[in-house]
Amino acid sequence: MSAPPGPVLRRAAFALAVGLLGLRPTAGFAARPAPAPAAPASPGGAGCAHDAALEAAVARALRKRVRDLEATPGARIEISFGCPAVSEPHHVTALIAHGHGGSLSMLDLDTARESAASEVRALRLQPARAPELAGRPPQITRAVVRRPADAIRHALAFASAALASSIRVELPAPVPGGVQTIAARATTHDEALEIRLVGPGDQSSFSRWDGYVDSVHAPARVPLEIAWEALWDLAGGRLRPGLADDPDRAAYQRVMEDDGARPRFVEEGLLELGAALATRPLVPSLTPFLEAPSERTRTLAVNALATATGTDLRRDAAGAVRPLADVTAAYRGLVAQPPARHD
Amino acid sequence: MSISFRPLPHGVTWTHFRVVKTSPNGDDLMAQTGYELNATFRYKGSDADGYSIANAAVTVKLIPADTWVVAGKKSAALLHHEQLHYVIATLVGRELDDELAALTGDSSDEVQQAARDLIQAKNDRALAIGQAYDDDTDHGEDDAQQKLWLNRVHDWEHNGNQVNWP
Repeated sequence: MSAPPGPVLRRAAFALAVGLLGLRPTAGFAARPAPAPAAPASPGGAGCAHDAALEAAVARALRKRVRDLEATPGARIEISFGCPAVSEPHHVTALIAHGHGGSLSMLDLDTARESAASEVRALRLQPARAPELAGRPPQITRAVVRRPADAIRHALAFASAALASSIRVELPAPVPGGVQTIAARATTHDEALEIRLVGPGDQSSFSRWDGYVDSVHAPARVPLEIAWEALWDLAGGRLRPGLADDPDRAAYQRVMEDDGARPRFVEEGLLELGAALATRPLVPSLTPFLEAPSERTRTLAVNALATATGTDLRRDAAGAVRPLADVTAAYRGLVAQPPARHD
Repeated sequence: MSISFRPLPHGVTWTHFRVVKTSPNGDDLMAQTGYELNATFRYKGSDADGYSIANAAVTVKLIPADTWVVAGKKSAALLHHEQLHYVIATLVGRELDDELAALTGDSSDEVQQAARDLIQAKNDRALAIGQAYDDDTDHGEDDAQQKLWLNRVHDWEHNGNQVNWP
């Protein structure tokens, strides 16, 4: 979340970025999905083993989701699979968020721990309608569950295959003199998805999509939705109110440190989570939001900075909540100070 | 070249929204509006003279399956917010109707691709305006901004349905 507010808050809605990081060759693309997105390249250009049964199951899920919104009569949905960007992911950090009063959910899956069962960590925020300075802490439900290796392996394979898929929507061939209908369907449901996979060595991939749920961008959006759902099913049904712990904060930090513009509803959801999860290394990422045009955003940024810095400047000596302008100025001053020496 | 609306641009009421117990998306949304930009046309021409579009008819319609409200969440403010999303779509639908008939190509394949590109571009335009609307109004929570957007869209309508947007 290193991008400052401003244009970010008003940018175009649609973005897809998929890339291989580290030492692997870049296979990233930033494009609209239609008409024919390229299949993700194989890591290092090498081939990979395809699990036909798995890909058939993933294709069914993808096809149904695309079909549900496709509006052009006779359109054919073609699905193919490339090689997963990360051959054997052992760590996943992912989020989904919804505008229009929706929620923000985060998932962190780590299979590299020494215990026999892998740990899945899920967090869900129900955003406040009107956040207050020094108000109640954010409403978070969470779950930390250990799942058998087989369940984890299957979810990771399913998600990886979905992310390696390419979807094309083919229209019926035009007939000279014939009549044709072409249609696009859209909703007011705005959604954002991010999935980061980390594997052995320097393998990693980051996939992101945000926009309104519609038919035109379904080929870009649906693979991430299906991947998210496979992963979220590992723990999402077990959420309970609870206090955040250090691994929650570490997962939050990983999400916040990802570069790139985010929709305002995602930024604000993450800032609100920051009141419970922000840590000192995130102060540089949080500070630019003190300049956001929205009072709501600035309020959330201040609450996150109070947690991140461990210094609460929101109240005066008598304990009364200070005006937002005074508090933002105070935090600007605080973060501008050189760090204290500890020698 | 013709356009129709189902319902009319300002005809959206709660009766168009099916009432659901919880969001079908599995999230906490309170309401959703789904709509479609639909273009039906005939391919006209020949390989010698080139191809164009004839008998173009554009329809903007609500999609009942994608239009819902969570029980107990109906409010005038929420309806007004959703209504304006649809009005924006109808205005962009008018643009589609204006531009569709002018498409030409050396083959019917080219005309089809041009029509598809145009419909997708109009879909994106409606959504981009909708995103600015959602951002400014905080998804309808900011009453002052909601009024500003209502006036802005009314101005577009009163100015010959010309959408003054980048």
